[in-house]
Formats: sequence, structure tokens, C-alpha cells
Amino acid sequence: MGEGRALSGLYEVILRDYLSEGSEADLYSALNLGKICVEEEIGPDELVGLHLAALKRFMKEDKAELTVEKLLQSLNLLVEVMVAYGLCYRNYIESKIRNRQLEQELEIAKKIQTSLLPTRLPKLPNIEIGVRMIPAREVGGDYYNTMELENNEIGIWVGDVSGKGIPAALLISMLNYAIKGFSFNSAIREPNKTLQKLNELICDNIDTESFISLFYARLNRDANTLIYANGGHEPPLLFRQSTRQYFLLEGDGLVLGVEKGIEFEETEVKLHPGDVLVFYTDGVTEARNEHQETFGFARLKALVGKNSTLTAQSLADRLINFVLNHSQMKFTDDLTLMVIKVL
Amino acid sequence: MSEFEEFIKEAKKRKRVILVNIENEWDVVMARREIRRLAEEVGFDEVDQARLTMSLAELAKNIILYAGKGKIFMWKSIHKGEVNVNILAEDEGPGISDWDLKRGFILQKSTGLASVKQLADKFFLKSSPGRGCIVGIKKILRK
Repeated sequence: MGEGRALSGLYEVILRDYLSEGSEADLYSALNLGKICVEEEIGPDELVGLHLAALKRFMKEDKAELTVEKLLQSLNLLVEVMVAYGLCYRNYIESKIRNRQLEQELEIAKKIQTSLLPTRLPKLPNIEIGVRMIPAREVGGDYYNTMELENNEIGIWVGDVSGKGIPAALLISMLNYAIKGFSFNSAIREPNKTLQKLNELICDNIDTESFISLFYARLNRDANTLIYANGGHEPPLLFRQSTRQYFLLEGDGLVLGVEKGIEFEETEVKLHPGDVLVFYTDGVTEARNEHQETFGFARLKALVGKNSTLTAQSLADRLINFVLNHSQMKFTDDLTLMVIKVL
Repeated sequence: MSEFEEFIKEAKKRKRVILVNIENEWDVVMARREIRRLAEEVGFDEVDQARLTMSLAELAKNIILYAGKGKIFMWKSIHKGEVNVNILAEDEGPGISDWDLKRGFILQKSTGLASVKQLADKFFLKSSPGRGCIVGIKKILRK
């Protein structure tokens, strides 16, 4: 309402000036006024009302006689305002329609993305898996998957696709199908070879500006080993309950989709009962609070150590809740966190 | 010679062309006064006069904003019994890249050019980076 009152005052000043001097400068001001009215969402009916009210006040206060000439002259000003208003309004409506289309597309992208994520996690006797993912308002590019493979192994995938929206959703869709194909192909079992193959595929099929960070591990439940390769993803954390030590699952390897022919380092670690594995995306560690301070890896690490006795799902929930509290729910990137506990 | 090249030639060669140098807001007001007088003389009604002054103001403001200074030419013409009012805005500013032109960027963004194009019967635009910008519009009198 404040703007409305200020605007009616401004309108009156311009009209009064124009009626007494008939200056082009006043008409020019009226043009700008028309634009402001659209921005302030003042309707055309209100604008005509504004004109009428200003005209009446002018007659009353200046004791001016409203001749036909003066009335017509005043209409020149209204025409000026309305022409600018009409144009701005059309542009405003067009941009609104464009935005609505964009929102619908984002909605579709979001559906594609969530439909690709696993609907249930493998339930295994000596392994506990917990996941929590919160997509940002805009469609982000986080990806995770776990699946039971042959030889009592489970495959674990966590990744982050560059970009957002529909391009990211399509990239994830491609990645998902490729991963499913490769996971059950016994000719390429090793995580490093798998990432290598995926990299070739991605390089051949997506534009050079897109890329994917991807971590892949095979957890063998008989031997209690984890064999992994890391394609430029945030190194997952291994917390060893028995010694209370922390390890980072690092390994040489670039993000996928940038350069053909690159190789990935493969590493094997032994797992012990009580061990906690935490996989996450950069949305977690880079979530910022009001002082622009990131959540950070150190905080994540400390919280894992403190809460390591919780079940995998409770730990994932608790960690994500800490991130949400830190960022006061104002996170801009997807948050994905997966916890695997060896029982 | 393209239609736009002829249009530019007309602006520069015609005898009765009004030229206003644009450097500040007062020049905009002055140029608006001239185009209104011309439009009225030709027989445009008040609404079309307002449309023409608005287009001119947008062109002039772009000159001040992007190039600092420039020129606006206005003239009336009669072609095959059609009476027109023409405006040509010219500056030597940074210009617009081909890329932006192709993307329609400049016409979508709030540069005011989108409005100018909507209001005109004919719209010409020629520009390249570092070589300024020339915009021409023609408005036909409807009888």
C-alpha cells in the first residue's frame, strides 16, 4: 500500500505539472511511471482511478476550471502511461508464461531423477545400509545406488553430475542404465575397469562441458573386503570402531567425461565388525550457514565418530539433520548421504 | 542494396531530416518533442504518437546507457501512397555480438529493444562488437 500512496502522489505531481506547462518532460516521466506500475502490480483499473483522483484534486486545490481542452490534455498523459504499461504488461505476461513452462520442465526432470534412484535398499544379515537424500529445489545431479551382485557382493555407487535441471536428469538416466549394464557383466568386475569403461562411454556420448564424479565400490561379505575406485568424487569416510581411526577412501582418478583413456587406481581395504562407511556428495560438506561458513569435512568426521553406535539409517538421518540445521534449510545443492555399517 | 541500407541512406541524404544528438536525458526529451510534432503533422493519433515517443525514448536511452552518445534521425516518407514516420538511432558504442543477436538475447532482455520492435511496423538492427549499433524503425500511418 505504501508504494501505491507514493505512486498516487507522484502521478499527481506529474499531472499537475503537465496541465500547467504541457511539457514533453512530464510525458517522458509518465512513460517511466507506466513501467513502475507493472512492476508494482498495479492494475489498469487502478491506474485510471489514479488519473481521475489526481485530476479531481488538481481542480479542487488549484481551483482550476476543467475545460474540455484541459481534460483532453490530461488524457495525453494517461495515454502515455497506458502505452508504456501495455507494453511492459505484455512482456511481463510472456516472461510469466516462460517461467511456468520452465517450472513444469523442472518438475519433469525431478520426477525422472527420483524415479532412477533405488526404491529399496538391499537387506543383508551382516551389513546395514542407510540413505538420506534431500534434493535441492532446483533439480540437482546427485546419484546413488546399491545393488546385490553375484558372489555375495554388493555394489555401491555415489556420484554427482555437473549441471542441474533436465540436462543433469538425462545424464543421470544414461549413467544409471550404463551402471546396471556393467554391474552384471562378469567380464568387467573390477571397479577401476568399470569406471574406465564408463568414462569412455560418457566421453563418447555427452558434450565436453559435462562431467560426472563417481565413486564405485564392491563390498564382499564373505571376505569382508571393500574394493573401490574413485573418479574424482569426495572421498568417502571409513571409521574404524575398534581403534577409533578414520580413513579416507581416496584413489587416483579424474572425474568422468573429461578425457578419454584415463586410468583409475583400485584399492582394497579390509573391513571389521563395527566399521562405519560414510558416502556423501559435496552438497553435504559445502552447505553454508548465514556466515557463509561451510559444514565441512572436519565437522562431518567428528559427528560420525560421536554417533558411530547408531544404526546406519539413524546415523544418516542424524548427519543430514545436522547439515540442515547448519544451513538453516537454505541449501542450494542436493544433499546425499549413505551410511554402511559392518555388523 | 538491402532495404535497411536504403533506409540508412535515406536518413543521411534526405533534406528534411531532423537530427538530434543524444547525450543526456534532456536530449531525449527534446527528441521526443520532435518526433511527436512530426507524428502529429503526418496525422498519427495520440496513441500512436505515444507509441512513437516511447520507441524513441527507448532507443535514446540505449544510446546513453551503452554508448554514452549518439544520433537520432527522424523523417517522414511517402512510399507507394503509404505515409510513414521513420527513426534511425546510431551510435559508436560497444555494439552487440553476433552470438547475442542470434540468441535473441538483446530482444528478450530488458534493453527496451523488444518493446521498440513490438511497436514498429518495420524494425532493422545492425551491429557488431566494437562497431556500434544502428537501429531503424518505420511506422505506417493507418487510414
